[in-house]
This record gives sequence, C-alpha cells and structure tokens, in this order.
Amino acid sequence: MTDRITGALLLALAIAFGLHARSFTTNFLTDPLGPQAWPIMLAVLLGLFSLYLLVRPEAEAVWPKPVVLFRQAVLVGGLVIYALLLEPLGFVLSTVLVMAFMASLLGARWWQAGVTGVVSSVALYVLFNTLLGLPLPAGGLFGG
Amino acid sequence: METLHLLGQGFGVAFQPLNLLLALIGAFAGTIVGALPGLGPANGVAILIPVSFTLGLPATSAMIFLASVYYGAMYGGRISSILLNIPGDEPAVMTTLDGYPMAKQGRGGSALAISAVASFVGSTLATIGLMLFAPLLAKLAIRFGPAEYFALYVMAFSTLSSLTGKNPVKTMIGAVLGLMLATVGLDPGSSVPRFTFGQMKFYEGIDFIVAIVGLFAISEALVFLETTHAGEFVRYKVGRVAARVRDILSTLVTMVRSSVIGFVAGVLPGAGASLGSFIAYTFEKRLVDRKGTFGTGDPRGVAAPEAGNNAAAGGALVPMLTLGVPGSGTTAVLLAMLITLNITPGPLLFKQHPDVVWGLIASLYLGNIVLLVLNLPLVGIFVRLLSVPGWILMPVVTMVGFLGVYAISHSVFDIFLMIGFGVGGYVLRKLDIPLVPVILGLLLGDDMEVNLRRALNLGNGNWLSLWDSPLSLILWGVAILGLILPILFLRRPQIVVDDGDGTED
Repeated sequence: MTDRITGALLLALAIAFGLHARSFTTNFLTDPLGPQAWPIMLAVLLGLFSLYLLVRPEAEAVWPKPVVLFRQAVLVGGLVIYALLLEPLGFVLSTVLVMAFMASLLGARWWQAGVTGVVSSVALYVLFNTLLGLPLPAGGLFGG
Repeated sequence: METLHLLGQGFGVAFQPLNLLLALIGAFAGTIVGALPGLGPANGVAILIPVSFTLGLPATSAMIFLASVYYGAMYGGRISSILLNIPGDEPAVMTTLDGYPMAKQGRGGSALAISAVASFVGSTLATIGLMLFAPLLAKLAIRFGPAEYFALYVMAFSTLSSLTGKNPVKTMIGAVLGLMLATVGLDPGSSVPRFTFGQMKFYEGIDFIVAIVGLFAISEALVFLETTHAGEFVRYKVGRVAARVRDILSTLVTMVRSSVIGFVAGVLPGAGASLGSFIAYTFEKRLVDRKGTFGTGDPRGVAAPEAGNNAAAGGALVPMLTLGVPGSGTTAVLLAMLITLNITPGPLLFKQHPDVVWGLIASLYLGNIVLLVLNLPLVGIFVRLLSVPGWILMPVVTMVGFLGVYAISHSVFDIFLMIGFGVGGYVLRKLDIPLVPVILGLLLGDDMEVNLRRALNLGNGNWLSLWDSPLSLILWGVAILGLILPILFLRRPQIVVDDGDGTED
C-alpha cells in the first residue's frame, strides 16, 4: 500500500512538474532544446517510474510507532524554533536550550541534559566564534 | 618516471605543516566518525565540510582534511563491528561476521590488530592504484565531448541502480528526484528562472551543502530517535591489541586479493565501499573456506572485508577525480565540496590543479601511516568513545551540522531548507528510496543538462549525434547493460548490506 500511495504522489508530482515546466519560455532560441525540454524529460521519466510502483508495489514499509512519530515531530519542531530563536536570543542561550531539549528527548535525566546543554554550547561557541573566527550571534545576554 | 616526479611534488604539498596537521586531525576525526554507530562516513564528511569552509582552507588543504576523514572512517567502522557486533558504518557490516565471534572467544585484540593491518594494506594498495590509474583515465577522458559526458552520466545512474539498492526502480526514482532538484534556479542556457516560485533565494539553485547536511545529518537524527533507546551503550574493555605475526602473515594473501577486488568494485560508479567489502568477503569465502570456519571467527574473514572496503574507498576516488562522477555517497559529498570551492573535477583537474591531485595522493599515503598508528597502539581511545551515551552524541552531531550550514550563509532560510531536506530524506529512507542517487542527481543535474544541450547544439539538433562517436557508443552500451543485467539476473543473491539507508559510504 505504501508503494502505491508513493507511486500516486510521485505521479502527481511528475505531472505538476511537467506542466509547470511548459511555462518556461524564452524569446531568443539559444539552443535546440531551450529551458523546457530537460525538465519535461525528467517529468516523463518520473511518471514512468511511478507508474511502475503503482502497478508492482513491494513490501510494506515499517513506519515508527505513534509515540516515536510524535517524538520525531517534537524534534523537528524544536529545531525550527531553534532556528527562529537563534538570532534574537543569541547563540549560547538558544543552543543551551536546544541541546538540553534534544538530550532529554533521547532519555537523559534533567541534570544530565542541562550539563550537556551548557558544556556543549559554550564549547561550540568557543570553538566556532573564538578559535575559528566565525561570528555567531551573541544575543542580548552577551551585550549583542 | 613522470609519476614519481609528480608524487615528489605532492609530498612537498603534503609535508606543509598545515596539511600535515589537517591529515592528522582528519584521520583522528574520521576514525571516530567510523567507530560511532549511526555516524557514517558520508554523514561525517558532510557535517565537516562547512567547518572546513569556515576555516577558510584552500582547496588542497580542505580536500586533504576531508579525504583523511573518509579514509579514517573506513578504519574506524570495524571497531564497534568487532567489539559490539554493531557495525560502526555500513561498509563494516561484513566485518561483524567473523570479527564479533573472534571477540567473544577472547580474541578481540587480535581481530582489531588484523583488521587494522588489513585496512592499511587495502588503503595503501588503493592509493597506489589511484596514483597509477587515475592519470591514465584522465588522459582518456580528455577526449570526451558533450555527447560522451552525457552518456557517461547516464551510465553512472544506470550502474548505480543495478549495483545498489534492493529495487532498481526506486534507485532511479531517487536519481530523477535529485535531477529535478537540480533544475531549480536560473536555466544555465537562457537564464530563465525555473521552479523558483518567486523566491530570490532559489535563483542560484539549491545549495549542495544545505541539501546534503539535511539529507544525512538531520534524517539520521530522526532515525536515531526511532532505533536507539537510552542506556543502550555499554562499557567495553579490550585486552592487548596485538596479533601473532603468524596470524598477520597467514592473512596477508587474503588482504592483497581482497584489496584488488575492492579497488575494482570501488572504481565502478555507484559501487562504493559497502559493495567492496561484500564482494571481497564472499569471494574469499568461496575461495579459501574449505573447513567452513568463515563466520565462526576466522581471521581471514576479518581481513577480507576490511581490506576490501578500504580499497574500495580509494577506488571510488578515481572516477570522482578524473570524470567528476562520484562512485559513492561520500565521494559525492567530496565532489560537492570541490564544486563549491570552484574546482571542477575531471580530466582538466590533473592539468590545472596538479597540486590538488598529487597533494591529495601523497597525503593519503601519509594519512594511512597515521591511521595505522591510531588504530593499533592507540585504538583504546576509540574503544572508550563507544561508551559515550547517545543523548550526548546525537545533539552534538546535529548541532555541528546546523552550525556549519549557518556559518556558510548566515541565513535562517537555509536552516529551514535543511530541516526540510532532513524530513524529506527521512521519508525517502522509510520508502526504501536511497539517498545517494538523490545527491548524485542534484550534483550532476546541471552538467548533465548542459552537456545534452551542447551536444545537440553541435549536432544541429539531431538526436543521433548523441551516438556518433565510438566512445559514446561504448558508454551507452555499458549503460544499457547496467539496466538489462539486473533484470536478467533478478535472482541475484540478496545483498546483506542495506543500501536503502542514506548513510551508505
């Protein structure tokens, strides 16, 4: 079933991709193919392969249990929030938070997670900012 | 003679203090990358690329650093295979078969020593092979025109699909998805924006590094959540790491034989180190296993896959450097780095940047000696690292990848893109669509299209011009064989190595 759904989705992608590619036009002809032909060829190929998946699906994929899926979603959400907080909060503070968050997600106790967060974020800051000379956002905590 | 002269110059480059230091650090980091389960060579090299950019390393030094990581990972993978029965990375899967039984019989130290020597033999022979064959191939490739290059890319994808993965169709789907991603941005021929959806960020195309770190590092973190449970890591004590000289000598023939097999497997586009160790092990088992001792702790069963995967790793550098077509995931990542540094691998590389090529080759010789030292007397350091808990490991690895991407672009948009690639990569892995062809497609897509259009332009729009020269006919022939053979021999033995996983070498 997974393969069938995948095949159907990929087929839809192939069609959308190919149709969108038809809108690429140029006034002067630089070469026999132009900007459209290659994307359309790729769309046709993907269409053929996805039809094969639809017709001859294989063994079922094993999806993680809902608990795991939830934890994965939480991780992705945490990383997105981290990206948003990185510049306003500054590197050190936001990294302490995200590291502690990831460690506890993986089963560390709260104090282990805290120590991991503080130690690793300070170490990374020193490594990147001070030793490698890559400016990281310091944030309000360190005087911007 | 010419080779020796160039190699001499290469050693001049390799012995520069910076490069020597980088080879040392790279070898050390690489062994760690290999030893830690869940952090494979492609992954390890990918997260270290941005770091080498931020250091502002020149191309030669960056290449030396990352190739040392690559070679190191091939050494390191065996450690946890032997001690814990968990392969440190995919090419080391075969090493568990005889390595772990040896460890259970109390011969773990001996297994580590034999495999270290085997890795050394494999890598060194492969570096010699690289030195001898790459310039020859480069001389041949200099006659390639656009039509030949296009045929070459087609061949790379077709052999990739026949050699890796369980389902060739899914490999091809991965490749086409990668090629599609490569079309995002301004059309190289007419500068028409394609699939940019009005986002200025997309005009220059999708950044390889962002995509690769996302696909490998972030998706690995998601897999990690699924497979690892807290408190799984155990302390492991290993006795003296030494083997009887007799054991080493009796496996020496095996090592040499496996190195040759591994090297050839590595040169084939799409094969890589996993296949190298697999073929080397099965071949050796068929050839010498008369008493049925393979699988029960036979030293030759440790020597064969380790020599095989290290030799394949060296072999995979040949097509990457001479043709710009990587044979495996890690060499694809190395290619991405070279392209980002404005160095185009291919036959001209040998003429325009001999310092890169020969400096690299010389560094690989030196790196191998460093690695032998790290992996024999000093192997205890890495054994101790195996007891680092996952809740420290995974966040640190993810964060290094994160920081690296941010360091290159200082753009939050790129981080979102990377997270997106991570989730996408995870879904593809679950669907058994391998990630290596996606990366390969993304990397080669632009060149493939440009060469096709150039070839047709030269042939005045006549499609038959693609098959005009004997060289391109040969390449097309191999490509078609690569597609047909797996169909004819569909009942080939199921390869134990799970290539559906993205962290393949």
